[in-house]
Amino acid sequence: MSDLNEHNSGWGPLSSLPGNPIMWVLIWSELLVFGAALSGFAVARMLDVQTFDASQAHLDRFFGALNTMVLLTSGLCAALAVRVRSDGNSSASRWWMVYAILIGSVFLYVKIIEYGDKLDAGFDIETNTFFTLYYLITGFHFFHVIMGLIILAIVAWKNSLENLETGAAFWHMVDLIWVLVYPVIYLVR
Amino acid sequence: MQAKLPSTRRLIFVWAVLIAATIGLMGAGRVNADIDLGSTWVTVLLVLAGAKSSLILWFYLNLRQSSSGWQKGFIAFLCVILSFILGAYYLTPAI
Amino acid sequence: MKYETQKLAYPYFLAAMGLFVAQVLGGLLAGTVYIFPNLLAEAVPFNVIRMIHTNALIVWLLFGFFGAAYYLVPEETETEIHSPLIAKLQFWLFLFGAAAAVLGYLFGIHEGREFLEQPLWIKVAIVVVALMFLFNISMTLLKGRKTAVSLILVMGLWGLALFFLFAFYNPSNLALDKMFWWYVVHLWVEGVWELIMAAILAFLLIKMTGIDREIVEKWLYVIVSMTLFTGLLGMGHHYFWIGTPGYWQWIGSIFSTLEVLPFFAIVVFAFMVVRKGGRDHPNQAAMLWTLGCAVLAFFGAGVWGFMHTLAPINYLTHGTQVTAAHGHLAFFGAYVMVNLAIITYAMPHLRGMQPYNQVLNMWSFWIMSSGMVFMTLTLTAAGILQTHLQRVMGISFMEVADEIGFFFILRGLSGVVVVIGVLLFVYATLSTDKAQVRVGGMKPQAAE
Repeated sequence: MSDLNEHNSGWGPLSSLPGNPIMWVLIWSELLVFGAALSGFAVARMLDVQTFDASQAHLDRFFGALNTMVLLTSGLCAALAVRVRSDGNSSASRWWMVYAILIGSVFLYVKIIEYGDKLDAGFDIETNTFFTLYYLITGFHFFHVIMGLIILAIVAWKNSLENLETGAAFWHMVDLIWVLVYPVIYLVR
Repeated sequence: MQAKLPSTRRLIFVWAVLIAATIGLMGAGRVNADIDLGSTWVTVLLVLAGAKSSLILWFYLNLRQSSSGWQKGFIAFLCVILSFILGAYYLTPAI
Repeated sequence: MKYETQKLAYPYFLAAMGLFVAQVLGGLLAGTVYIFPNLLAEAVPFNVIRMIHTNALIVWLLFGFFGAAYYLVPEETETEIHSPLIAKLQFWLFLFGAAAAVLGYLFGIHEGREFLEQPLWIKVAIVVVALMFLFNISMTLLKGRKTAVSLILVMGLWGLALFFLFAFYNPSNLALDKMFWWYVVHLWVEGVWELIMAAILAFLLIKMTGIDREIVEKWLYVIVSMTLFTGLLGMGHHYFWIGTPGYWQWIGSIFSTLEVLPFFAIVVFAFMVVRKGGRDHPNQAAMLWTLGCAVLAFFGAGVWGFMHTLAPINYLTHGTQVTAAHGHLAFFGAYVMVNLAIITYAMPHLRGMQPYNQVLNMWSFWIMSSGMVFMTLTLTAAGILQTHLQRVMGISFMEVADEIGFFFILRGLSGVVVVIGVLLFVYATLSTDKAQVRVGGMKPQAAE
């Protein structure tokens, strides 16, 4: 990253992080938002544990775990794309990004099935506080997955090392958030 | 610069650990049984989630190469959030 | 002053200060009505006084922003304004529209929708004014140097005009009406105006401290991304109780809590820059307003906003004097002070004076600011008492109004102090200090 630091100078502490520093401002903002939302979820559950546990039983816990693995695997591909790009292998890097995007799309597919099941069963965002938060938090995350896939596609195309690092950082953040969201919303009971 | 990014082997190893931890999470969280977990297993769940997040930060996001201030900041953030959630769980009145 | 067309800012600043005086006089009158409730009830009812107070505020801030843009865009882009004629026409059209609106209000001609009371033709005139302005500024930017400061300023100004268009959409469903109503002033103050404010502060700090532009620009990017990330969805804190779905309580609470961050970043940014760059610029008054703006914006918009932004708290405080306290300090700290800062900085250049009545100007800073801070504290106290008596204990609105009357007297007095501060500011800005020498328009700039 030594060559990056040259045009990254003046960013202060932000310059020691990989990729574009503004991406890290975004990552921190996202972590704060999801952190606040999950804390709010924990407090709301504390206040109405019956509703929360009864509602949680309607979620598909296996699908949630499956999606965790999907994102972790897609994240590996993105990390490898950065890795091989830094070795100078531009086309292999592109392919790893394509794999990351394809595997990442599986997340959307699984999640759409899940949302469809819940809506068919009559649970929507206004059903109760549990489902309000379920749809808000996972929905907001879902939106980030879509954004992430678009960003990955862009950096696969314009694949300078800095772009790749920036796009991959966003994607890992999306991954990280799901790793926190899944146990808290699907499993804790 | 190349020395700074994790090697391919290491990344794959980290990925395998993450998948194994997820399977562990599935077991600890009894994905297929609709039973109460109890505080021990919930603690295990959240610790596993914290460990997985740290791995993602350290290797996927390559935080191990950044300044120690950032490392402490991210870890502190994870600790605060997870202990808050765990605290709320412990304070929840039994049904 | 390096560019001839920077002079275009002069009438805008004059009009801004004139309307500022009108605004605080209206405020003083409204504050007096709180103490003597039947005052002028027939001739000029309270709702009309309030309308003049709020509308004059928005309009003079806009005059100030327009002036600021005409002043700083030539220096930033290193080129003259595209068309001075358009700028002059725009000024007179806007002034005419503003005067016609206020005159109309006095005769009861208005559309009644809070803050958007302007008759339709005036709204159209505002759009025409905005288009003339944006065309002029954007053309200037296109042919000149593109700096982060000018790009972000122009981005904020475009957003301002864009969101104003929602003033024309007035659905008959009351919940929808309210939902889009909030787009106009509140996506300004929580979104695009923050960009304008950050850009103006950045310009002032570059000029006055001589700090490396690179550093300022990076801070600007951080502040702008935090603003847009938190402000747009943070606006959801207005959607708690207007008939919108319940999930807005979560969205609004979480995102608006984070709206403190960009304001905090502005404080850190301003003080860091001044510490690094030094504060030996001769215009000490402008420096004072710049730093004061960062601090009071953080308290007024950030801290006082956070105080009642969480849905469970707002459930109790909604529509009490707590809101009035926040509104006053936020508008003053963020947008009034940034305008006064650029006016204080630019006026000596525009009038060809060496820094002028600095001491008087700095006195006006302390008088106005302490008056406003005291007003905020009295309103906060009134609001907390009101919340408790009315919302917790269930005492009726009118009885509670009697109970908190004492705070309204204090607020009235602090209003007098603010008005004195404002008059002093105008005098200090426009008067000629005999001790100072006229030196012509070309005062040397601090290194950039």
